[in-house]
Amino acid sequence: MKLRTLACLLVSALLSPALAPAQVSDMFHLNGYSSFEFEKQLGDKGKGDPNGSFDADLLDLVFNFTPSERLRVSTDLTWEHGAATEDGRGNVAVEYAFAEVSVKDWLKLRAGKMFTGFGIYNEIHTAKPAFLTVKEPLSTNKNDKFGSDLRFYPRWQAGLALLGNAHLSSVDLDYIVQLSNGEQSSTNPFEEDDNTSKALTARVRVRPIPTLTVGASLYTDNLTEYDADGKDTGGRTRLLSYGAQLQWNPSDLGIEVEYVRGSIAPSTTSKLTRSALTAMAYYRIRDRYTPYFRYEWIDPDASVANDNAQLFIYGVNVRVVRALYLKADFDTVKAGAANARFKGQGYTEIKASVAVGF
Amino acid sequence: MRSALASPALSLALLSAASLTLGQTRGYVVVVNESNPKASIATADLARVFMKTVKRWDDGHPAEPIDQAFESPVRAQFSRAVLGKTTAQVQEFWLRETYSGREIPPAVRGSDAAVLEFVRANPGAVGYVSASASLPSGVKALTVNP
Repeated sequence: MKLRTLACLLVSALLSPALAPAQVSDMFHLNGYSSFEFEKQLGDKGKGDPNGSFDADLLDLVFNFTPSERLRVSTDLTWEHGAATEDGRGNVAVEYAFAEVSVKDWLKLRAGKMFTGFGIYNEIHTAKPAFLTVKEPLSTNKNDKFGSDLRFYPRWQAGLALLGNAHLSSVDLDYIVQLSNGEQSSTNPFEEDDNTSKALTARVRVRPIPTLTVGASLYTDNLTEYDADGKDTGGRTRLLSYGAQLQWNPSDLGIEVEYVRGSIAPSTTSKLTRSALTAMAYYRIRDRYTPYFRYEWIDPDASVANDNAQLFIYGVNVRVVRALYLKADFDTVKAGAANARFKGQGYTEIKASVAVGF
Repeated sequence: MRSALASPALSLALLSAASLTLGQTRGYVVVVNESNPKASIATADLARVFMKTVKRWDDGHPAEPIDQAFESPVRAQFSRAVLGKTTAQVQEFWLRETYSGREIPPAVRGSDAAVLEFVRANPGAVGYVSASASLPSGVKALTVNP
């Protein structure tokens, strides 16, 4: 009898909202997203997928714990491409895991692993429900897949950050400054730096009016140079990238432009200069159907002729319900003969995806 | 000839009519805890609180915005009028903020009654309810200026 009474009390407690104070549920947030994709290259030649493949792209879970209004612990865990460690397939990753202390609206301190705060897309590059196209831009965000040897900046960093929001009269702005180990292949950059030089990232975004955001970003680091035996030569390659961004959505029309320029300056050989552009226009119809066009361009090395690559994307994004999106792209790549990835071979690919966020 | 606005009674009547029209157009009332010293707020400042770029009231107390459910008609009106976006666009904004690790959205309550209860129980809370909702003790309306 006592056991039954106890069971009834337990069930009542679990089901009763009164026993779940708002502060408890409001203290812990679980969000996430998932994406399933299909790609097929039209024709046999090119760097696309001639077979046509389904991709269980990812499942991402985002946890936020706010034990007080000044402290937040945030982490994003991802399982990509049907991750199955037993078979060595896919990958599992901590996209970010950090603690953030809010001193003022304009001053927050963050420590841990985090996205590099550069430009429009890096911090949402896997978050498919958060942007219109099937994939994030290659030219300005994933340029190592578009003819560059090295990305303009790493995806993630381990280190410290200052960030915040401010407003001066009617103008709003936000900023982030990050100090980190930077990126390297010789050691795990989220555990150990391979030199004493720290990477610096800075971005400021200004909204002079609510429908217009303009911003500027900077990333710089000194990369260790190794000899053939893997020993530090003492030389350092300076990586410098800087960019500008614009987002304008005066009504149902929207425009996005991002330009990134930078250099790679080894200690003994000549400096390489490169630049890239992404420009997109879209139009929302009934707050549900959004056709878009995106143009991407890259010049991986200003001193090399005919190494440019371009990407033209025509597509439509349909918000089915809440944050469930269907997307379809028609992508055409054009590239010069000296482009390291495409070697002059253009191609067209169709892409489609289902992305859901919560 | 006297101006029509020179008559205090007529001025008051016109003002009342204008307020009534505004209230009917809005279809929502912004509410705060009775202990909040604010009596009014500019639309842009209210938007900053709900977009969480401003997280404290002028007196330093934490601001706790509370949203209504995605499908709520009153949320649609509030989002359009104060945030200048549709509910879907606001959702997309919060998807980007949340996934990037930058910020999390305001808590959500599923009804006027739940919002009013949250606001009554939390001194820094600010929410919005249907214009027809009756405000309980401990909750007051906040005038929103253009």
